[in-house]
Order: sequence, then C-alpha cells, then structure tokens
Amino acid sequence: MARVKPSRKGLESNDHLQKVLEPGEDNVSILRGFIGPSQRDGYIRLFASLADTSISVEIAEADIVSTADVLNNNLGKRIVWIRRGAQITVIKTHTTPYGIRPKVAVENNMASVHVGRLNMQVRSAQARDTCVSVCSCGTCQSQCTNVCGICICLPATLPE
Amino acid sequence: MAIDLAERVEAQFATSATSLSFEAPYLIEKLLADHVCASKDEAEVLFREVKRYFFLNRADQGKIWEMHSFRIDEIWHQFVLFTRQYMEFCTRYYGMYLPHSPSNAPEAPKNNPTQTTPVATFREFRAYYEKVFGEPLPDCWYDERNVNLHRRVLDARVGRLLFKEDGDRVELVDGAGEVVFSINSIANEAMSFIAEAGAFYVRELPGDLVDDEKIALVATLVEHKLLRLAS
Repeated sequence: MARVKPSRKGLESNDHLQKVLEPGEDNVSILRGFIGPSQRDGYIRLFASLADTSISVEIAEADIVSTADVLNNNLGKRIVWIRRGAQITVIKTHTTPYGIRPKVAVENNMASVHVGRLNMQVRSAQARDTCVSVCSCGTCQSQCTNVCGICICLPATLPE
Repeated sequence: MAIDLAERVEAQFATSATSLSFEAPYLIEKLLADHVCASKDEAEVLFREVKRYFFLNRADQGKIWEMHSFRIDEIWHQFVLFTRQYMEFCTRYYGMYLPHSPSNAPEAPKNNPTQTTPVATFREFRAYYEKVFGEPLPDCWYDERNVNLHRRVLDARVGRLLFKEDGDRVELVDGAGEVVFSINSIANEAMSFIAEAGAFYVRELPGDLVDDEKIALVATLVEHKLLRLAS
C-alpha cells in the first residue's frame, strides 16, 4: 500500500484518488458502465449501455478499488476502478474471459493509424465494406446491407 | 419483338446519359444559401455525383447500389425538396420516379417474394464507377475525408462498447472481449467525451489534441463505422 503523508496545511486529499492509489500507482484499470446485479455472490455486473443489456462484464467486488459518477451522465453511469489483473468476465450469449486472448493475436488483427501524436489501432474487420448491422446487439457485424442511416435508391420499386 | 425491347433499352440508356449534363441552378443556390456547401464549385461537384449515382443505379439494376456518401446523400435530399423539378427530372431521364428511402424504411411488398437483389459492396461500387466514368472515385464519396472541425458527428457504435482505460491506452471492447479500437492515452479526455456524447461537433473535443489530431481521430472512427456524419 502506498504510504500517505498528511498535508501540513491540512488540505484534504481527494477520496477517490486516495483509494485509487492504494493498490500502488499504475495498478488500476478503469471501466465505465452501469452497475447491475450479478447472480454470483460477491460480484457485480457492469453494463456498457442501458439500451443494450446484452454486453456486460462481471467483476468481483473485492477487485473494485473505487467508483464515481460519470460527469454529466444523469442516468447513473459509473466509473469503476479495478485492480489491474483482476479477473473480469465478459458476458454475452457466451462467456469469454477478458484478456485470455494473447495480445499478439489481437494486434495482428489490428490496423495501425498514426497521426501526429495519435497512435490508433482499429480491428481490421471493421473495414469499409463491413458495416454494423441494424441488429441492436451492437457487436455483430454483417456485410453492408445498408449504409448506416443513409439512403438507398431501390431498383424497381414501382409496379411494372 | 426482342429487337424492339433492345432498342428501347438502348434509347432509354442514351436518354439517361444526357441527365449527367442536367443543371439545377435553383438547387445550387439553395445549397449555398443554407450553407450546405461552402462554395459553388463544391455544390456543383456534389450535384454531379448525385446525377452519376442515379445513372449508375439505373444502368445496372442487377444489384442494389447503395448511397455510400453522407455528403452526396445530403445533396440528394435537397434536390428531392424541389418536388416538381425532381419529379420532372426523374420522369424525363429515367421514365420513373427515383424513390429515395432511408435505409431503415419498412420494406415494400415485392412482386416476387423469393427474388432477392444482391447488394453491391463499396468496393464493387467503386470499381463500377471507375469503369463507367473512367476516373477515380472522388473524395466526396469517402465520409472520413469530409471530416472537419465544424462537422457534427453522431454515435454509431461507440456508446455500446465497453470503455476501458488501461495504463497508457484507452480501449473500446466488444461483447466478445475483443478490442475494437485502441488509442494512446493522449486522447483519453477526447475519447471519454466521445463515449458519453451522442452527438457533437469535432471542434468540441476536449483535451490537449490539436485540430489535426481531432480531425484524424474522428475521421478514423467514421471510417470504421464507430461514428457517423450528421447533418
């Protein structure tokens, strides 16, 4: 645990910061989402969206270092600090332990984009000819059957 | 009989081709007055692409040729608003009204429900365009090349992905636990904002990014369908 020296001028440390520093600097990761119940004792589920509850991660409460409200989100979205290396499980229709996939394999599937100081990596399958389908799960993809939100000129829609 | 049909098709094709030189000064004027376009040249180029899109669409009806460009689609919308002129244009050059449907429009009943028309990919569209017009597909067909500081963008997918800050990277993770997008932490503040905002102007991105970096970040997210352009 990091040693905390009290301020000589009696200035109070930020509570969240203090908790986040407890496991040691750089030993926490941050997730954002909506906290929901888990069926496992001692766990919570964090949902990415209120509109789409098909994606969530299950986190042991013991691995949660701190939580706080997301600024300007009045629906209750939370920032959750977790210990780095904590076992979190992504829940969808099947369960995939997060982080089990070797990082190299993921990187091989990523296209790199460098602009100025930005170093971006985008999954290659997200290329132009692949489009997020209208399916509301938010994760499945299909060949573009329609360009998201844009119009089409349908052939032969008028009676012949 | 077959010759008649072939001749009629050829005649219709020739008529449709003349639509490419059709001019609509009233539309150009509106595009400038409404600040849809920044210059007359830009308006003319975008309207030319609308006409080319119509032509390509009707010349090969064996596939559904989607509208791939937000900017060109926007000009098509403006043209449709001139209802009488649009209908006259369609009838004169194509012999029918060219329907304009949002991609989520309820499907119209088909004459033959078992018949499905294949949808062309962007690559196929680009190849078809370049074959017919003998020139590369212009930049206005690529939404990501039309991102600037004053462009408004909408969330297409970001808000439904898990946002994870991990050391020196910010990651967007999908339901399979795979990283869809990752960026170094210099964009942390901008990415937090993007994840929370349903819609925003590129110039509004907070943090330390310079203008070119804001544009590059949004353009990359647009190109990969995580954000989309708005009007």
